[in-house]
Amino acid sequence: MRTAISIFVMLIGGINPICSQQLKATGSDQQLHVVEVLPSADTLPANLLRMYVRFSKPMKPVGNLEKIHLISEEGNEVPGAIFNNVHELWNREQTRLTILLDPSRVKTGLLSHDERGRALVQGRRYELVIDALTDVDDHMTAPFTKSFYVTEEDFSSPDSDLWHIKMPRAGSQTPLVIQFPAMLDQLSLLQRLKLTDQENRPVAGKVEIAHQETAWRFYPATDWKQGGYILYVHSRLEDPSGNNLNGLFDHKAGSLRNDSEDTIESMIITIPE
Amino acid sequence: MKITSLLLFLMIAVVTTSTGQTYKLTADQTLEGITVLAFGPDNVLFIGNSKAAKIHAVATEATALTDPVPYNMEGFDQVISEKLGITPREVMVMDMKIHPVSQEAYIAIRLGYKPDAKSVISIIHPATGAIRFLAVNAGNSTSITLKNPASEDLVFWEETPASALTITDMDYHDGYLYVAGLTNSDFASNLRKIAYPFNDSQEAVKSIEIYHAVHTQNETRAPIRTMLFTELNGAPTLVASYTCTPLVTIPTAAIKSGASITGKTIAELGYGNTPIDMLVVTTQGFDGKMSKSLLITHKNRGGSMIPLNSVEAGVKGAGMAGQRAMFAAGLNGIQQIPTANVMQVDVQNPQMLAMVRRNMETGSIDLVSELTGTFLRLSDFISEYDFPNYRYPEAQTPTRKYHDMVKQMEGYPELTSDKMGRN
Repeated sequence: MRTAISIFVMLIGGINPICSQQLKATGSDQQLHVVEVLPSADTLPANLLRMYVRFSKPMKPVGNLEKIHLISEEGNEVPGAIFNNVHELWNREQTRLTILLDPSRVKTGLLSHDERGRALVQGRRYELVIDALTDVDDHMTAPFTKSFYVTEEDFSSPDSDLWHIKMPRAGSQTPLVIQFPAMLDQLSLLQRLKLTDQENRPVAGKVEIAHQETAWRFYPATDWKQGGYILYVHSRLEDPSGNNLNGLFDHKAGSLRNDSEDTIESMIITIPE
Repeated sequence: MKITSLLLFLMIAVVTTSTGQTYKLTADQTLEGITVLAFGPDNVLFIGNSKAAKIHAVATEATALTDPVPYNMEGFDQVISEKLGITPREVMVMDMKIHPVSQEAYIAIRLGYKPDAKSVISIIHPATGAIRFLAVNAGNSTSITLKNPASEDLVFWEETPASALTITDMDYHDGYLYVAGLTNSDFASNLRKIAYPFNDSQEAVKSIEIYHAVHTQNETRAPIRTMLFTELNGAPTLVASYTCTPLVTIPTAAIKSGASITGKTIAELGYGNTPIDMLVVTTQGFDGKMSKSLLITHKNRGGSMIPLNSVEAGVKGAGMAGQRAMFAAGLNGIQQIPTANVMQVDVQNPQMLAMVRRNMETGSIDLVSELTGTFLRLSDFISEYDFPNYRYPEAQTPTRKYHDMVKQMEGYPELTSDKMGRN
């Protein structure tokens, strides 16, 4: 069972977002270690596109992708599974690395997909093995392994009509909870959902992504008021296979819901008495 | 290759040695996180500052250099680190562009690994080897912050907004700067069109789809890794290479605000690879005729060179629909060229390419020039010609002349056949 990550977000419009990440990690944050690998589920789709590795300290932002391996259940490295980008994709603090599985193998219709197939095959087990990596002070992590089982490819778009919303009561600070039928991308959830009051003022509070990225919980800084709030949802909200609200990563011509990649849905959240 | 004419112009670079004194960078010479450089009109240098989500435009001053003077700076990382009082390991080369007038190499360097590490732009002169640093915040510079177009009224970027976008390439064309990027949480295409001089006008292309196979009509979004503008079949065209190496063309006229664009995939350059740089180079064939080619260097494969007329034929054709092949495919005449350790490349002058290379033996970073068309440095290899008792027979006179010219160019004038008594 993975520990939940609490992301404290003071939603202050117009001002640089104040964001601190409080990790309820099992080890001490003073020690350099791999905190977690996302998605946190141990069952992942065959068309998985993106994973994240989170570290307890700032890491050197180069030369890491060569040291991360996908290993089959026979113990062999799956060659060319991890996409070796020119610039590694790190957050500003250099504590979170984005790993892309080679998109040319994930997509259908591309040479590499047709000839080599996907790196992940349904019904098989894999390990993502992260060798010892170096932080900015030349300390090294212990090697880390995430094991997972691969299920069928995910060809469904996230759909806000299918979300289940658990309303808190006015006057309380219990969380507003949105449950998703399938896991979404953690970083995308943090960036693409936003709660405001009816005057479009951001609500101060704390966001928590839980239950293996299938739940978004919002803890308000002050008591909920009775009445309307607005939840904004950006169409680029993605799942770990790159499918977003607007359509599939790998879609048929003309099948996108909207020509624009950037639309915003709004949902009225009415807090009961 | 016009050996004789080049020989006349050839000058040998003199590399100045370190004075042992550490150069103190001013605040004007550093930025947060430079990933990409591009030259624009009137020698303005565009600087892609990914950490600040900004593009800076800095006017450059340069003295014209028309002679083809080669770079032979081995251990560029050592030279820079000594100058700045850091270790060579802390020199991270992000991009390199050659000044169109002075032939100076503008090399963006990140200094060290820490999250707050600064970036600088070093300027190296080919003839003297002198190094100076660009004042990036000087009074004559302008800048623009990249907007997230759909959420101007909403702060969606709750977490570390600026670092979400890594600028992967920029190119100026006809009044606009085109900026491609890759984000760490979306895998959608990301191409912006920004008017220059900057006036706050930013257009974002809604999406770029790469059209793959007629039978399924599947389309996919993908971020552009490297691109350039060139005229193909008489029409200005954006040629882009993507992160998993399809080569795609888009008519420039189609890149408009809010447009959904379908690029035509005209070639695939091989799986498991990411392209680094794309150039148009002019080479002279054995028949003496000059012709243009598209040159693409890769991180994981040797470079691809494709005759431009073959690219034009591809644009007229049906694209890659339904074709299957294991390696490079889609166009006639795709040649693999030896650029395996080239980190950055640009056209230096009509005869030469300048490149930043990783030396496979010493691990050092070298700044060197190569003759366009040969795509190798003679001094990288030891062959029978290098044995002391080798004599060039009469029939090999062109080879001898070529070797002598290249030896001088690569900084080994003492090894020419005259000096070695090999005629």
